[in-house]
Amino acid sequence: MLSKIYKGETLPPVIEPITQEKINSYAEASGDFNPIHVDEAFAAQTPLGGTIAHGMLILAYVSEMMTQSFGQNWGSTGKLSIRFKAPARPGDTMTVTGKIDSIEDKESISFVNCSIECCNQRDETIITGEAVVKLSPQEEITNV
Amino acid sequence: MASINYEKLEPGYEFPATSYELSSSFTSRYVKAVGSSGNEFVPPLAIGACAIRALAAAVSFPPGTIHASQEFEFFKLVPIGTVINCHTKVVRKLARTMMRMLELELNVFDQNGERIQSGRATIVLPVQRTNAQ
Repeated sequence: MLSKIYKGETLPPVIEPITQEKINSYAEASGDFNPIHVDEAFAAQTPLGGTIAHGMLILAYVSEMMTQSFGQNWGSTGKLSIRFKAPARPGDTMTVTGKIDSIEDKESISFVNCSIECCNQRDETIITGEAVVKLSPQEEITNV
Repeated sequence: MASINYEKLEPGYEFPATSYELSSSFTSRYVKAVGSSGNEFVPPLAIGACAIRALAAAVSFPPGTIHASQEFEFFKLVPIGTVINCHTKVVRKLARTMMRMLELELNVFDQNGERIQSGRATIVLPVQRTNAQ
């Protein structure tokens, strides 16, 4: 978890290589066997030209970064809004980053607003979005 | 569950609710697949994945359907073993020459009827081409 929470703080990144094996494992776990993810022959015939990772798999990496930064507050109060900008493909490496953009206090609760981005190894944006976490007064918030 | 086609969906349509048990085997498979740090609670995105799975089971989406955007809001930590009920409603439908899109509202409740998660998903469906002579 972050030891101090303040505007401008960057969240510890999550870096994950994407492999077809990971995509297949996610399909098994989630029950989403859309052939665009798991059928290489089918995917090759589509405009995408090959299989792509499930968007929800990439979102899981975003959620992992938020959990590592904010602990169980993320799972109990988090809010996430993202747009998928480009597909993540086997062979890509995802780097999920985040930054605290602002902290708003309302009725003894702090709302921590973060910008989120996920890029591949070519620095192409895969996901952009925002996340909000509510923190109770005992969390250590530093106003900078 | 009988599936419905995109053509038959209209804004306001509510899919039949679907239940899942967030068993320890489901949770460990999920945690292993995404490499997340597991604990006694189900990762929030694992619950989201169930909601998406319920949707995929209810609609016969053509191959090549992709996710364009997603929103989630989490209301409480969910212990392993919880039974969830997933409710999905069509919010918006857009059909253009080159694109078909659906915006869906997701709500997930636990066995006590408490809302544990809500969200919105926008999905893009491939345009079905016909072979004109």
